[in-house]
Amino acid sequence: MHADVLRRELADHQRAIAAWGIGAVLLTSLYILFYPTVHDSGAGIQAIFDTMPRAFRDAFLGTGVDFLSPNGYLGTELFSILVPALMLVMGILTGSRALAGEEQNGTIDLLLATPIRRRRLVTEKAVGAQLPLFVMAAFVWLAVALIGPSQGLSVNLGVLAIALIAVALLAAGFGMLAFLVAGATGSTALGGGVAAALAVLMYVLNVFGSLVSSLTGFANTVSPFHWVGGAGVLATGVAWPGMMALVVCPIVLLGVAIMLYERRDLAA
Amino acid sequence: MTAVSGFPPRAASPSFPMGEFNAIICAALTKDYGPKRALDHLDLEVRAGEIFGYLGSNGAGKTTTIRCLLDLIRPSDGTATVIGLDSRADSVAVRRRTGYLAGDLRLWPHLTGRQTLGYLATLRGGVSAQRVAELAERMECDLTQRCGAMSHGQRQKVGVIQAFMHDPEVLILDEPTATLDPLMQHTVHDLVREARDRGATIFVSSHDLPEVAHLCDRAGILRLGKLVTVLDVGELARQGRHVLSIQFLEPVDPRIFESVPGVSEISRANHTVTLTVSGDLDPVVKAAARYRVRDLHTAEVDLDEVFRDYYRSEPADAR
Repeated sequence: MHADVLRRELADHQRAIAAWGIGAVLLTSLYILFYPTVHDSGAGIQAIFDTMPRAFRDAFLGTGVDFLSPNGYLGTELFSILVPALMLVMGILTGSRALAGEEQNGTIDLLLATPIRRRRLVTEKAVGAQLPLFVMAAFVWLAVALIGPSQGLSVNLGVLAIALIAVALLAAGFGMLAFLVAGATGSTALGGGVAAALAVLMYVLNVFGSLVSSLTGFANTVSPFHWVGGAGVLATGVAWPGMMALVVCPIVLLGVAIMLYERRDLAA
Repeated sequence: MTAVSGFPPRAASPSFPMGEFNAIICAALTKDYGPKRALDHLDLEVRAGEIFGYLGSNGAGKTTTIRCLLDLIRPSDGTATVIGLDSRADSVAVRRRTGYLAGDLRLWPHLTGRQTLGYLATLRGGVSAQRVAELAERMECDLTQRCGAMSHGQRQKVGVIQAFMHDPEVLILDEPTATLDPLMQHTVHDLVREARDRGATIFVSSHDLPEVAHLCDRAGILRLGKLVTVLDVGELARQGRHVLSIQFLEPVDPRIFESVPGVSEISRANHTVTLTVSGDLDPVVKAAARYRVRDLHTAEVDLDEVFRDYYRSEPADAR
C-alpha cells in the first residue's frame, strides 16, 4: 500500500508542524543565548539552588547535576518542563483528533467507503499523528547542535538525540492514549481529556517520587516521566529499561486502538 | 483498476448478466441502538441491474441499512451480502466494487474538490482522470474551489462524482438529489440510468415518492425498521396520489367528479374544487375541461399518507 492516508495527514498538518517546530527552535535558541549570561553570574545562581532542600533540588535539577555545566543547564531548561510540555500538548492534540476527528466531522463515511481496511486507516492515522513529534525533536536537536557551541554549550549530541527521542516517545505514548480513547469512543474531547489528566498525574507522581522516599520505587517504575530521565538526562543518559518501555507503550496502545476501532459502529 | 489512465471500458464493467441474481440481499438484518430497534429482521432483495428505490420517512431505517451494507456499522443480527460478498467478512471487496453517496455528506473543508477526488481516487488505487473530468463537466462542478467554501449543492456534486467516478458495479445512494436543483437532479437521474444500462445495480434511498416513481424500476417501502412492501414502479405510481385544486371561471357542481375513476374527498370553496386523485390524472383533467378553467394546482400526497393507506389495509396485529 502507498500510505495515502498518512501522506494526506502529513500534508494537512505541514503548516502546524512547521509552526510548532519553529516555536521549539526559537525557545531553544533563546535558552541557549541566555547561557553565557547565566554562566557568568554562576555563583549567585548556584547559591540560590544551595538554599533549596536537597530533595527538592534533586527533583527539579536531577540528582547531583551541576546547573552551570552545559549538561545541567540544557538538561534543566529543556528537559524538566519545556520540551516535554510542548510535545505532550502537541501529541495529545493531534492524537485525539487524527482518527476521531474524521468521525466527528462526518468525513469517516467518505473515507471508509473506499476499499481500505480499518486497521490500515488506524495505523496510518496513528503514525501521522505522532511522526511530527520526532520532527520537532529533530528541530530542537539541530538548534542545539548548530547554536550551542558558539555559546559555550557543547553537549554530547548522541546523548541529546536519545534524550529527545525519549521525550518524543513519552509524548507519543500519551498521544496514542488520546488517540485510542478518542478512536474507541468517537469523542476527541474525551480522548484528549483522559490523556492530559493521566499525563499530569504521572508528572506529579514523578515529582513526589523524588521528594518522598517511600514513593520513590513505585513512582520510578510507574511514571514515564522518570523513564525519560528528567533534568539530569544529559549527564546520566536514558536508562535502557525505561527506553524500552517508552518504545513499547505506543505500540501496545496502537494495537489496542486497532482492536477497539475494528469492532465499533462508526457514528453517522 | 490500478492505472490512472487504464480504466476498463464500460462494456467490460458488469461481471454478471443482468437480472439473474440478487445484487443486494439482507437476511433478517437487525440493528439495535441500545433499547431502540432501528432495523427489525429486515429481508430485502435487490436484483442485479435494477434501480431499486428505498422509500421511507426519516428514521425509518434507510441510512442504518445502507451503513450496514458498507460495514460502517455492524448488524446486531442477520446478514447482508453485496454482489455475493458478505458485508462484514468481505467488506473491503464490497467497498471496492461499490460507489456510495452518504445522505449527510461531509467533505474536508480545507481540500478543494479536485484534491478530495484525488485523495479518494488514490485510496481506490486510481481512477480515470478522464471520467472524473467528464463527470465534473456534466455536473457543472467547479473542482478548484475549497469544499469549505462550497454551497450545499456544490458539495453534493462532488459527492456524486466520487460515487460514480470508478464506474462501480453497485451504487448506493442515500438521498442523492435532496440538495440539488431540478436541472442537476435530472443529470443525476441520467447518470443513474446510464449506470444501470451498463449493468450496474443502483440502490437509492429517498423519502420522495415522485422521484422514486420517476427513477426506479422497483421500490421497497420501509417503516419502523421493517420492509412493508416491495412494488413495481407502475404500482407505485398508482399508489401515488395528488391533491388537485381546480379554479373555474364559473360556478361548477363538484358532483361532476364523483363518477370519475380514482377521485375521492371532493370539496368546493367558491369556484375552486379540490379533489384527491389516485393514479391517473387524465380522466379528471378531461372532466374539468368541459368548463372554463382559470387555474390548476396539484400537490403530491406525501409518503406518510401512502403509508397510512398501507397500514389501514393490514390487520391490526401486523402493525
